[in-house]
Amino acid sequence: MERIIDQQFTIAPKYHQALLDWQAKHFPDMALLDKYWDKHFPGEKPFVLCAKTNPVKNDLIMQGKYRGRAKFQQARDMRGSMLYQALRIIKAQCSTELGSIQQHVDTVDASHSDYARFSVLRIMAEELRHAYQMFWVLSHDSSWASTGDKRIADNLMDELLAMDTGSHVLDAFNINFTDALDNIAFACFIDRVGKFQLSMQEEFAYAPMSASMRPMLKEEAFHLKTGWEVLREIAVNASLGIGAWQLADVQKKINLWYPRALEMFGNSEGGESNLQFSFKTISNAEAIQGYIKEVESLMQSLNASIIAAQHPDLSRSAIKERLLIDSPLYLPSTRFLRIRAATDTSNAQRVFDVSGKELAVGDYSRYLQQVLPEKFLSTDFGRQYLAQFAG
Amino acid sequence: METNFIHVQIHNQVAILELDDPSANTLTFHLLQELEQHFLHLEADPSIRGVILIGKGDKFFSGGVNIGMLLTAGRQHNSHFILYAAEVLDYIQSSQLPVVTIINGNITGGGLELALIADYRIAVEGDYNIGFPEVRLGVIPGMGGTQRLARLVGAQRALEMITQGEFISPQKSHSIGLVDQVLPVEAFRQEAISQATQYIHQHASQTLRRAQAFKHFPLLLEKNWVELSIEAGLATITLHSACEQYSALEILLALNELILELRTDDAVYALLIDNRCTTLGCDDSSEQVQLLQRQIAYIFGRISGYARISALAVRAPLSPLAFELALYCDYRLCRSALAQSDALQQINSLSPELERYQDFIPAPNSSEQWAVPVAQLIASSFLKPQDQPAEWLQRFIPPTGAGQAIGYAKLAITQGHTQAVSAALLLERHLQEQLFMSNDSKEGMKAYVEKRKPFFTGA
Repeated sequence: MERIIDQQFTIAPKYHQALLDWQAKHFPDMALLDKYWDKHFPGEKPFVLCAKTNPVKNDLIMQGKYRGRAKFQQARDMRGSMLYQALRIIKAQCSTELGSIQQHVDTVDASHSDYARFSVLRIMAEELRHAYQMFWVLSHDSSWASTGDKRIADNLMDELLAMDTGSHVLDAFNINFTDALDNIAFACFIDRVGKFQLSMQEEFAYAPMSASMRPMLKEEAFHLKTGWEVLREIAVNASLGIGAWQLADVQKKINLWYPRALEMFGNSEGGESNLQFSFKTISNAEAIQGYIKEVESLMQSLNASIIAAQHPDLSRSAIKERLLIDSPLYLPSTRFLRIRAATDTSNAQRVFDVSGKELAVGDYSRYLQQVLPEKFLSTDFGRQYLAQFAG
Repeated sequence: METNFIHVQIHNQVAILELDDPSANTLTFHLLQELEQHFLHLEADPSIRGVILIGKGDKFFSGGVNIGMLLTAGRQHNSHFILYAAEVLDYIQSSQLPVVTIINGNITGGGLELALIADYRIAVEGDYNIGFPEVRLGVIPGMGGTQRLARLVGAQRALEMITQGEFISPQKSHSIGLVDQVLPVEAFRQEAISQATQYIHQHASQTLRRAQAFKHFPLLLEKNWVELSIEAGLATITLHSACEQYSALEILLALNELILELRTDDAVYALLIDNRCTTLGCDDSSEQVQLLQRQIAYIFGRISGYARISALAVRAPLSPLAFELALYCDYRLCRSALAQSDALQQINSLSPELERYQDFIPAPNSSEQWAVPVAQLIASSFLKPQDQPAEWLQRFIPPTGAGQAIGYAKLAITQGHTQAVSAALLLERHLQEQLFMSNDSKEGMKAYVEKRKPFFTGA
């Protein structure tokens, strides 16, 4: 196979059509985006559903068991557990793309502004393109068929197309949105994890996957920008009593999505084999630390904007000083609402409040009703989670 | 064959095989293929006294069968995998080479099944998992684990361990006899290898290791002298005349790779081996015979154990290795020119497979080697005159033949007839149950009722 350069691809008609059918069912408003693209995103290239690749950063595998070897061009070259782990990562990646569209669609029409609405529609379209990209990874390389079951890649694509909120790989994508603030908090906190994962996957040992990352990252930057800017706008307005939400609502969304984001990185002890196979470049623990640092900085900036809006007379340095004693919004403790930890035997049935203090299991449901969005606890996901602590 | 997952070191005439597939050294087709290949070569190396199995690192010996593989690779693949894994484990266990497992960390499921084939197990002290969690995943140990564990620690203990799916400590494993020795963490690897080497030298057989050949095989064989092609459900392995330069073991290993490849291809319903050689296996010295017979039974046994019809195309009287191959095939199709000749077939096989042909091949005379006219083998149907073997095999291939049912019928007979009747009946029932779930059984019965020709799909 030749080295991949800047290119755009259309996938095999069968799966191209399957994704269009999926879009018609789960994202019927995509045509609106096309219609109003120039109004909301003037000067930007219109959206096209296709696969895109960029040259890989390194032709060689830079770390782990296969360090120094050329990146694998074909799936059949990945052997042993590496092959199945690669499939698992591609599946998880694609599941997040499709899953987020299924979440966004429920509440996007309730966005507080036209810009917010069309930004979310653009995010959804780009997530669909990312799913398309993963389908390209699975379908352009006929050697997947020689890695075991002939239909191994086809089966995976069929499985992905059949997934719904509740059956996706990662918990964050199994939670129904309950209002338009979810669209924005999700873009701010969950898409940011996506940025970390995609950046690490630029060094993915399977070249078609690594070559897919740069275009995805460019689009992901818009998702993060939207999440951050609109969340700041909503939070500032809320602090001034403007708009549909109060600051407490914003805080509750942070309490919900930030822990889900942390869990997307996997167990902090794990990730060793991803490093060995050069699927990722840093350990789970390092990635989590990097994410926390970035989000802490965002929170600092968000709080500064709120204080500046509430006290327009304060200077920058005065705002900084004020931040030391007044943080309108905060990140909950990393121990709070760790759903995966609850099924881990070492932490089974241990629950914590937003400050990281351990709570009695019997008090937990009542406590969550105070610190989480009320409607979340009525979703399938919320009810199933609470059921663990009942009686 | 590229080696990625088993690192081999020879130390003091003992081969140390280190499992290395991050992070849990899980069992996959690729890892087991490397294990099998290394073992076949080591077994044929007269300087080797025994084998040590150990995991890389200090966390895992092996976390068992790769669950990601089982989840994604499909039912047929998984079924092939379990069969293959069971065969490899059986073969290693029946070797005359003593095998010691060094348990350097977590060892669960299939990893523990692998360790159970060893003659001796040394474990590191510590807080890690030993056990069979399969029932927690809705399956059972399927590579011989239920039987080997029960025979090692007793049926009741095995039942408790497997049905509860819980892990036990190295100390507990030692107390019930699952592990023979527990050593401290400090300098564990070095000390365990030393103890294992000592055990091997005490228990290595003095008799079998006289074999002189096979020593310098490259692991990666260039095999332009054997060729596999697949067309419309028929796989053909051609043994070109260049095979005549290669030793019996080399031919066995080459055929083994192709047969393994075939078994995982669901689109194959019949196998034709087209032998174009006059002789096969160039250096079968008497010193190798015992080992060769073992490896023949193992590798050619994959043909008789393959749930597909197989045939050997015969152009001339068969050389000894080719005759052995013929015994493991379901049909032997000879050219009419040979059928009309007065050629003699030399028979010097000691294979237990001969029993299958007691009505086809006349009993030996007093000597170990005897000759039978080809015409007599044709008259008895051991050889079938057929100039168009590929066309003749179409009857077993969909849409004409119900390939899966035909293969299962073969399997019930070839595998069942050597077992106790109760076990054979169990096998037959299991295969029939599988077939009742197939589309072909529905189509076959429907076509029968509708008085039309069935159209089988092989599914």
